[in-house]
Amino acid sequence: MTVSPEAPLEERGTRIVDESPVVEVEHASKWYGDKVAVSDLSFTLGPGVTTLLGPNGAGKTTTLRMLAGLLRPSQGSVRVLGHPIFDNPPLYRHIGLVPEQDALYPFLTARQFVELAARLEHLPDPGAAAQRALGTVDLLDVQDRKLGGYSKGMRQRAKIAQALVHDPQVLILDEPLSGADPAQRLELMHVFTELSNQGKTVLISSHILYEAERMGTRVLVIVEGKLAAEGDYHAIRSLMDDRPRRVAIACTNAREIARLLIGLEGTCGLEITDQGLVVQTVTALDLYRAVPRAAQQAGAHLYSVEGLDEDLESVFRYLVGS
Amino acid sequence: MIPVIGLTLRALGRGRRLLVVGALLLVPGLLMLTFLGSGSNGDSGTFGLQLFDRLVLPVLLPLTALIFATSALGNEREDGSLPYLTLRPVSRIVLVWAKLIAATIVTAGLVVASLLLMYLVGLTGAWGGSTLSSALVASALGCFAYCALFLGLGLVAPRRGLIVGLVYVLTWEGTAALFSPALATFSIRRYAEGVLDSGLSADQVSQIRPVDLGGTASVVVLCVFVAVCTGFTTWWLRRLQLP
Repeated sequence: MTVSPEAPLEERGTRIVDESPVVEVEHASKWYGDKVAVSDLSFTLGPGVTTLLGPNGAGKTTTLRMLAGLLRPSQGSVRVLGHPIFDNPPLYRHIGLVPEQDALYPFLTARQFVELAARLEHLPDPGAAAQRALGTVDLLDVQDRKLGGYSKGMRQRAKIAQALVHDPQVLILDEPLSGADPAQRLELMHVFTELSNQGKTVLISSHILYEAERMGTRVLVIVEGKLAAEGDYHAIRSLMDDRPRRVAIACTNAREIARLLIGLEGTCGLEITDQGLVVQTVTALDLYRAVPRAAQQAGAHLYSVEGLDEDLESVFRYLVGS
Repeated sequence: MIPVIGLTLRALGRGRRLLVVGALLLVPGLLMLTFLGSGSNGDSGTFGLQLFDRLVLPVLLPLTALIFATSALGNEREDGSLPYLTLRPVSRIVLVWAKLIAATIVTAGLVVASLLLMYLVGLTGAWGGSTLSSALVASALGCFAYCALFLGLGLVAPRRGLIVGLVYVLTWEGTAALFSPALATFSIRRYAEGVLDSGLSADQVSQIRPVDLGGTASVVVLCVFVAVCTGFTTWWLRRLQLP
């Protein structure tokens, strides 16, 4: 389905439905001189929350900026609602962006900042729209304080409010939960899920797996500028769970503990180290349960048990390898 | 356009920049005061005209424009807040004109205030109405043209724009164009002077330069220059990528 970017979606009496992608990325690459930021990305997005996962420097921000029209792909195409997004201001009324950069106008209050966005969107009642958006992110109480005096979490919420103020069809958020406290994180994740339920297309970048799990089932995993995995979160998670993981055990009497653990189902390898031992296993949970028992039987002191492959980067590298 | 003008005026009107430029623009008034206090036998009207023609127009005015106009778009590009304006359904030419108008309002406001201060200090009896008004119009149009140039410079080179502009003002507008009529043809000050001349008598013109530069042609050239500069800045903004 191709739609005119000039006409608001409501006026066309239609709603973007699942079968036609709202965002289409076809073989998009972006490079700066010799440096390739993203390479040959192809995917589509429809209504719902999609999480763009990847370690720092993977190309998430470049991808989001191409989707928002801030970067022109060096190769390939990025289309939103059927139209190329770069240098297409009429289309921007259907997009909301929360950039990663912390820069705001420090001399404006949150209310002025969001009202400015509403005015630039030519909304009929900018004040009311700003109040709605500020209410959504729970900033009404502090809306008349200057942004320069806001905490990082409050600035994040102000950025989200300016992106929501014109009720866009597509919402692109670059690490929107950074700086927010746990309660605010939950609240914002709830907001994004609500927007998804309203038929909006929400793309959120994150490097935290837990956030992806809470916000939606669809994920795009990007590593070193390439799409490493795409699809249902749970399928990817189970793929991750099946891989061998290394667990470092700091203890005394490591040899005796190693003898007791070698027969444990799922154990693939053992290595004695200066601090204790490192166990390679495909059933990490069973190992975590067995270690204290083994230490007790061996009469050893147990100082720590720590997974060595739990960081996202190593998970992503495993996905690329697989 | 109005929200962007308002935003830019607030951004430009804060910080030490305004104080520093304001202090700089007190210089013509102080020099006028010094001239009067020295008991010189010279004509204060001619001194004021020379002060305006050789200090305000070629140096202070472009420096003021440089400081404010390079910041008008350049600061937002540099600190990453530009997407809050460019990712809106607002055409690029509207954004550029809004920024230009705001930068011109601040620059012209300060330069005109400096001129009026100089006038009130020692020129109320020496300058006629047409002299004052032509100086005001020349200031305003000069600010408009310099701001159009430096707005684009700030967008193209947000980090080095100020330095490049400073070198341009001091070496070209303030020096080369001052000594060579041929080089002056390619300077903005040449046409701002032309606007000034249109309000002066032949005697007054002869006190500051050999020939009357022609007011109408100067206004046309300045307007065309502004149109070309804003066209370029709009084109650049359209193709600008923000990594």
